[in-house]
Amino acid sequence: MKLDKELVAASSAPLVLSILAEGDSYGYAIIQRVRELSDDQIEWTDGMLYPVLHWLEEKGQIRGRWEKAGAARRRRYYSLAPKGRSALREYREQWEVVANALKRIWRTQHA
Amino acid sequence: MHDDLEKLIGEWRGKMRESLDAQTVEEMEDHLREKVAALCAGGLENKKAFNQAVRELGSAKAVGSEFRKLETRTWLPIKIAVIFQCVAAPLAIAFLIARLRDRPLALLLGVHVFSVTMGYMLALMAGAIAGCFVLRRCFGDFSSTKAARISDQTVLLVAPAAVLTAIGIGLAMIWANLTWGRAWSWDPKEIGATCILWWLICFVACGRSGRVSPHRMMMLAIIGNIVVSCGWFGSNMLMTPSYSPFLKAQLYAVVLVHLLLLAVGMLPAGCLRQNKRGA
Repeated sequence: MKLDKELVAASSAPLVLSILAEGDSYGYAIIQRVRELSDDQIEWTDGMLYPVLHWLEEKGQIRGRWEKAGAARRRRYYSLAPKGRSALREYREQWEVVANALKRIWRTQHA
Repeated sequence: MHDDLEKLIGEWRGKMRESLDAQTVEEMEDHLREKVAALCAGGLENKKAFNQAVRELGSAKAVGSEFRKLETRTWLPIKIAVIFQCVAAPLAIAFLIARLRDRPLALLLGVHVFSVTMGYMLALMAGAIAGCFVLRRCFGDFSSTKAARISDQTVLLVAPAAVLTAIGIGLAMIWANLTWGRAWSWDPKEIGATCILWWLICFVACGRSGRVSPHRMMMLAIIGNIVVSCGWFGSNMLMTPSYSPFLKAQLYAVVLVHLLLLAVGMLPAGCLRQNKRGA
């Protein structure tokens, strides 16, 4: 199933924040987790994750740090910041409102 | 085989650097390598794994365009610096017209003083932005995109500073030749201005090369303030034997403050935030 582009874009920030709420992570691992959570239904162009990560970092919702990944490489890890936790709570409330409204109307339409 | 892969990654890195800053490319290269390793572990040969991984990462143009969509507001210290300069320029013109109106070669002298003053002030604004950068960094690192943007905008401020300083020096030489019969006399002001001009040119060259990290560019801008302060006020000090001790002390204080800022700039990012948590 191909998801609507706008829906994928709107869900990117809450997905990233939710994944970081599970624990610190980095770009490649975040993409893998999104695929796992959506049974490969959500298809992000891998590179599109990075503008989202940098935007969340500029807003202070996540924090980035460099760590060694092998002899001569560095990897950027991200962690959820307190601002990110508040933002995640708000996203969760908003998405639950929308999901509940849609569930109600689709249930009556199926009945 | 491994060398071929490294060559391909090197070429990819070069293409990505055309649209993205060095740290973002480094981050994405780590992703690319993980992806290639996973695909090779799944049985794909190196070149096919690399091509698939690059396709899934997206082209430099596409990723760069996504980054540009998210480029938000100009950092506040940069806005303040630009506003300050826009306010100072007409005030400086008005002041010079009032002071130099009745002097011979007034226009030449006035434009020289205006150019040099505006040039030095732009350079000092760049140093002030860098000071804000290192202080803010103590509470948390900037994202690589934001840091690169701040660095690029600071270089954009310093470029006209170099042009204005060069114009000011040229006009000073013309004025000196007409007034004293000698374009250059190796006095402290001329030497100071030349040192400042060379520093500004080197700073812009470093910024444009793309090889100096944003953090190091900010440290260079702080050093630039020391160079400008010594070249401007220090040369005045040397040329005026009766230079006020109070003003001398001010110059030493300015240099000391900038040395302290350099020391702060060498601290790890977010050090004050970690200390606050630990207290």
